[in-house]
Amino acid sequence: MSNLQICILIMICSELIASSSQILLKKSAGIRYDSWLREYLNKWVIAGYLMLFVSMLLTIRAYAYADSYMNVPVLETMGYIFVMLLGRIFFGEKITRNKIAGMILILTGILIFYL
Amino acid sequence: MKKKLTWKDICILQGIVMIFSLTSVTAKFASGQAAFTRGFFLFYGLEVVILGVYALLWQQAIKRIDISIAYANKAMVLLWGLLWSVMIFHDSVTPKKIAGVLFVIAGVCVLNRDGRSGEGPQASGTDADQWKTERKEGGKS
Repeated sequence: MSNLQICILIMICSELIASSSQILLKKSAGIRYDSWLREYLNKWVIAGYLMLFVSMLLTIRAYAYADSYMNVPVLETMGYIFVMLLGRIFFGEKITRNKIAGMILILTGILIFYL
Repeated sequence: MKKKLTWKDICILQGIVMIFSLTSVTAKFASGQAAFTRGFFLFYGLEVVILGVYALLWQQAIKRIDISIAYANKAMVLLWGLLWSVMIFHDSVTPKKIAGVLFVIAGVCVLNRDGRSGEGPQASGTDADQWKTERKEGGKS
């Protein structure tokens, strides 16, 4: 496997974990807690931030295999697509035409910025 | 059930993204410091504080905004990052970067036309009510 392939593989894992963590955070946000402290100190939020931490470590690792520094931020854009799909699956957030159009513009912008 | 994001939602969301983007500034300052010096701890400490504030606010924001929309708004770190790099580090701006940022701004504007969560703990009441209740319950967060 080439270094770039390893980089891509690590980033897919990293972004899958990061986007799943957003789902856990949103899950917690939909629950009403007795105190504001409990809004943060609950299993969903704690697990979510642990996963974000793991994803961060993976992303740092991915830089070691990247051909150039822009590989990683470009690959990070997968996260936007993952979150949109997971939002649809877990919270029934419709993937509307505006969302698709907006997403295409955002991804294009990030590609132009880095490539 | 789905409503447009209000201007207030968008401003709050962008404020949070702006706070988040500051971590790249502290990270850059921190990387310039020799390990375990006072500056090193200062900038890394500041980064952790900013991340903490961001995490507190983010949790409040996603109560009433679709996660897909809120997350996509984070793409605006491109704009904030570019602003900081020019203002603080005096990096040069290339037309390519400006074009990229303009595309992202356009995308976020289109996307924000949908996406207020109908669900969430404060699903009922007007927008103003929702933020008010939240401030009361959330205390200072």
